[in-house]
Amino acid sequence: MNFRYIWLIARREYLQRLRSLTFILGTALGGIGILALAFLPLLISVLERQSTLKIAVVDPQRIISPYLPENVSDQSGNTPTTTSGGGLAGGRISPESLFTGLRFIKTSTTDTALLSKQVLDGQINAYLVISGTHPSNIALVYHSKDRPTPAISARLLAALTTAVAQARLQASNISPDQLQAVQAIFSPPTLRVEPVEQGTLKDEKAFLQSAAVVYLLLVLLYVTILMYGMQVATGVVEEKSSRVMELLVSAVRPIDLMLGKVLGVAITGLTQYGVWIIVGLILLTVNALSGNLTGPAVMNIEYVPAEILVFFVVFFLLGFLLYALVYAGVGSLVSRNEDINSIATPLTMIIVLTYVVSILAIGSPDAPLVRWLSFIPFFTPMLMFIRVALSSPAWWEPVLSILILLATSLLLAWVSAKIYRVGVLMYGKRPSLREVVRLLGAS
Amino acid sequence: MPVGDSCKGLSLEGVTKVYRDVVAVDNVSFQVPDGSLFGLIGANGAGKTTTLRMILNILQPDRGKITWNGRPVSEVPRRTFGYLPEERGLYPKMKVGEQLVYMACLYGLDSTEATRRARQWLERVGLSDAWNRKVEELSKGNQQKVQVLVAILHDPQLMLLDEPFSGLDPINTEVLRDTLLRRRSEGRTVIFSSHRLEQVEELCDRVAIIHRGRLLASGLIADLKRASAARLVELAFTPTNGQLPDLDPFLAALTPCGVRVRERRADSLRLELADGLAADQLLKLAVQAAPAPIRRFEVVEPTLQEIFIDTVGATDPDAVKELMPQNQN
Repeated sequence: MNFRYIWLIARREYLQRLRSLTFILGTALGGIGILALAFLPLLISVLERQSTLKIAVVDPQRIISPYLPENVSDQSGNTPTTTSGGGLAGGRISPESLFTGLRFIKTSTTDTALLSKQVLDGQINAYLVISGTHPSNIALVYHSKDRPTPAISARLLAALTTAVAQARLQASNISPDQLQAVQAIFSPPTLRVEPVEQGTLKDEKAFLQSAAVVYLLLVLLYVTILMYGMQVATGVVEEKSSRVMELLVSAVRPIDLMLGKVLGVAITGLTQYGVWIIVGLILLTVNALSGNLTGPAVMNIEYVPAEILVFFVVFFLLGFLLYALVYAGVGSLVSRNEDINSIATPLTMIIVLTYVVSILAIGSPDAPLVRWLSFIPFFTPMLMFIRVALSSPAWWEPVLSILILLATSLLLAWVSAKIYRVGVLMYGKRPSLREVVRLLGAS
Repeated sequence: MPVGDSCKGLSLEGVTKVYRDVVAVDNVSFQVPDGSLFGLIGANGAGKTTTLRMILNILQPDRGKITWNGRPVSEVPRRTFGYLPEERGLYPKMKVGEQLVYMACLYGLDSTEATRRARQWLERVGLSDAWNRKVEELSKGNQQKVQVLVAILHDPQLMLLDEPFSGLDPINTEVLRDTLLRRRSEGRTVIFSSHRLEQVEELCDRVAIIHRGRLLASGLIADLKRASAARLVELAFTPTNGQLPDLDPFLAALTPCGVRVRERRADSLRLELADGLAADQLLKLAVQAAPAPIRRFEVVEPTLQEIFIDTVGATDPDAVKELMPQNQN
């Protein structure tokens, strides 16, 4: 290896790519993506608001409705009693959380046709008709488009049970003292929530946001590894098809050529990230300076821990290195751009597979399978990233996986350099796997 | 061969390269002393490109060794070599100046020096306005000029050019020829492959003849000519009364004496003498049978082309038939 040549090659690669349309467009699109990311919380809160069920209550006799709270879950949050903000020292689950996600709208109309129409139009999600004359003989009918999910049924039933009990108690002829005593008996306890570890308790909203960020970063990791890996392969093939390769190998050793190309593309990728990070920082600064002009809609930086970003860059570099080395070896075997896809397909499939597994792992970052797979080099970049971002693996786990990844990359560099060495002068029909193995044995 | 000789310059000893089941280069040995203009000749597919690639250490021989001044070529600094591949190739989207500087840097020059030389050379070949143009925007001929500059810019001791004259117009052929001769006068070595033998004969002092991977002959062209068994005579007649001489009866008279026609033109003949027939005997016969006044009678040396055909024909008679039309261009 000669670092002067590797550097020269990487520099040319970098400068040429920097001027290419692909890079400029890709960077611009990414910047737009960051703007979208910044407004993601707004999107999430809109979605959350929609997830609150609006139920019109038709209760002409006003038997139950006085006992149904109207405004409890009017806030978009899911945990009405907690203070707003990211980390909490602790929390409470209070009786009011029975009504979480439900919003009862008292209506004076009894026109069920009109209400049905409102349900169909999406103005309300359902309406509840309460008929009867007395709390003891009421009938409740829930009208909706869809069968309620078990979670909604449970919450609905719990909420109505409390309200009906209240109504019945009020209607019974017991003294106010007795009433108070009974109410005290039936009042739900307050549940205190404390973190198992010293420190803060992530609130659900923060978790949601960081999961969303992690998801986006995962997509980014996937897209950039695939894209830049492929760029290495096409770069090699372009040098072959323009026949400049023969000249290059007369001046420089193939391994220097390969490493220089991989390094140049990696720096291009980092530059792209650099631009995006600067855009992000400017956005945050503007947001901070303008005194939250854009309101809580803009991403709060505390939801994206810095270590996640560091791990992200580390896993991008290592993941890219691993795949790029294979892409370089594979690319050297074909001489026409059209042949790249067919020969690179197995590799692309591996990347897609790890991506799909990683998406599934977002839901259960602690599953044993996820844990084991995160040590397999081809899975490590995305899976271990998910684990460090969403769960808390022991300190040695990412370290070990990174070491395995590096060792595998070294091995692949050696194998790819061998393929590359014979491949770069090979033109014509793409070789079969058997021929490749034979070439490897021969060189 | 004395040790001192084999150490100076380039030396191939028993070099063999096998591709799958094809022996591309078969036990080839020859020497290229420093400062020579060396021609590697052979038909297409003879193994010239493979030989050049092995000298450059792009390919490694399966057997044998290649040394330059006593060192294996794999250990010789890359800066020593300049290369013009048969399949020309540059980065099409890269600017000419940038490309020249980049390649010169890869060969070991620093960028200041590379820039200076690139400007100087572009000017010398009349391309000084091409510095900021992309390679793909240049004409084929000019692309080839740039390609030659890539091989020459870092002032290599050894320049290897694979079919450098193919695709050049007469003017650029002249420019390239001058450039190569100048390299030799500067004490640099130039090795080029070609199947245009008249060009090789004009330029080179030494050649190696390769056929189907095997070396058939190598050395100074003058030595090869002297060693050639062929004795040749050129005979020309003066047309009389605007009539070309009728050569058929003349040849009919000479053939029984042991004469073979090498070449026949409208008014002249190139004849090969059989063993036992002396040139002055032929002259006597010719005077007797002449269809017109003899303008010229000369004992000549064989051309490189004839040596090539003879050498190849001696080992592979069938191949000569294939080669003949190819070498007429």
